[in-house]
Amino acid sequence: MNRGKDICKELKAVRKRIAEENDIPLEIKECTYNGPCKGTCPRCESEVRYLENALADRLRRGKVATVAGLALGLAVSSGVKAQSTDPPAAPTSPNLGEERNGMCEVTGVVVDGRNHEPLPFVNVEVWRNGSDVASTARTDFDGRYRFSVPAGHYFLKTCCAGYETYRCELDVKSTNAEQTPVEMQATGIVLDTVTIEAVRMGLVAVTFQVQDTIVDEKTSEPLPFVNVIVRKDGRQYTGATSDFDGIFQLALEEGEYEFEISTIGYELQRISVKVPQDLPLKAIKLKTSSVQFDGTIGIIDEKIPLVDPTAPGQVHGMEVQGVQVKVQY
Amino acid sequence: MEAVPFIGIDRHRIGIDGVGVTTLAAFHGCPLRCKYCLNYRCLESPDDLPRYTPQQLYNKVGVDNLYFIATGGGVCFGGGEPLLRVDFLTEFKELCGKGWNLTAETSLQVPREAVEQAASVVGDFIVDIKESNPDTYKAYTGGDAQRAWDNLEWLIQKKGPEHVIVRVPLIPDFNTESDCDRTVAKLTELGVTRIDRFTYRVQQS
Repeated sequence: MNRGKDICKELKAVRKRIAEENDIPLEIKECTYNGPCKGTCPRCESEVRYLENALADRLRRGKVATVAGLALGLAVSSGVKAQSTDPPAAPTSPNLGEERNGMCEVTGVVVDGRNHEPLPFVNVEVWRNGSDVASTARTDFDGRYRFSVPAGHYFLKTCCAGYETYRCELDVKSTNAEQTPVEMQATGIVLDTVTIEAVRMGLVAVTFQVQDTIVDEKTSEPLPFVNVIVRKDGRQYTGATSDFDGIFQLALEEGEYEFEISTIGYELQRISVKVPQDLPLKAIKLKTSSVQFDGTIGIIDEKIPLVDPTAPGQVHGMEVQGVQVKVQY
Repeated sequence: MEAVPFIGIDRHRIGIDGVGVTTLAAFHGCPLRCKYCLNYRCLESPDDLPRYTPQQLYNKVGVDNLYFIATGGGVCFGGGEPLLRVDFLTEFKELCGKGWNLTAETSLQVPREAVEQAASVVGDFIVDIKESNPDTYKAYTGGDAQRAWDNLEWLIQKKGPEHVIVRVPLIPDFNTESDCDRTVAKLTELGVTRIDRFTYRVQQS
């Protein structure tokens, strides 16, 4: 039996359980791919992101999002009762400077500048001297982020598809300080949220699946968490973020689009795409670039390589019952 | 905390590293030198390995947050020897909170202080105890069996037997079924109830 297929089946059951418990419409199609399966794929990953967004939306509307313990049937042991997560707390000011082991913990919240609702899954980056990434984080369901850095002067940057990139200076001290929440401003015309999500997930108006891989131009390594903003007729239409394998996926109707691909440390790239004439797309290659923060320019020459669990020398699966060991004599 | 080297990260492990859906994060570095080492990469140069701080690893594996929470899973730290990086585990737990269960796959070949610190943040332990005979243990691993067994005894008392799985392997050319019986009997005396007994399958190259 294909282990990847088994994993895919189990994870699919988890997603279905979460969707059912939270009244989230989720169309799960049977996978017809017969090749080697890693247990997940861009479509599976997009369903997870869709569920995260839908759960966050429930919380924003004051509803309960139930996730914890929903799928304990997968577990070796059971008995933990399902519990609900709490509704989101009201946005609070970042708490700067709780020092521990020489490190200062910085917490805060990112909100929509228009309605002040928390923004989940926003990439948060902290830079030192405009050239070194000191830390990174991603906001949770409640729009909250947390990271630890030594005391000092930094630049904070937040990125989220559909919003203008936000930058500010950040003084991290060993004493607590108050700072206003990060307010991100939406770009372009804001479309109806439900419609956008439906189109993204292919639940309503799917016409063509657009999938592509984003890689580093020099190393050809896939680039995860790259923002892809899709514009149509000069207005923001939808967007996506590349996954661990540098892959993003969109559902687009027939038409002409402009893709704006951006991530920190690389030059912004815009490409015109005609759907379906230009499909399938070729791999998008990003060039490393200089980044400017308030007059200080730094060159990015470092990034975290991805791990290929199937490559020689990586960790292999170990069976609880009957461990297999490869030995070189 | 500085970024530390990992030999690999493997997502979506179900029923392998404990409860629910887990991601295995395997540290570089090990105090033992087992002849049939499965992850020999942890003993080689770490120069070309990916490195993560607790925050960076948290961000990376957070992509499976929903699966972790829904299934009671989380992150299994292996290696190598994860208890050599107990400060990393502590900081990681502070980031992930109670929502993720942490599991450590360990030989317990570390100072007691490291085991005590790990016990406060790791939910479940998978202990590769290998052998009860100190000579066999020494021959196979190069390490001191007494240290591992003393730490295991303390861990069982601290965490309770429901949170500790102990692996007892039949190791070709090093021990026998009778040796494994003795090891299992000794574990039972200590109060261990979850024993994973299996055979190393040596593949001729």
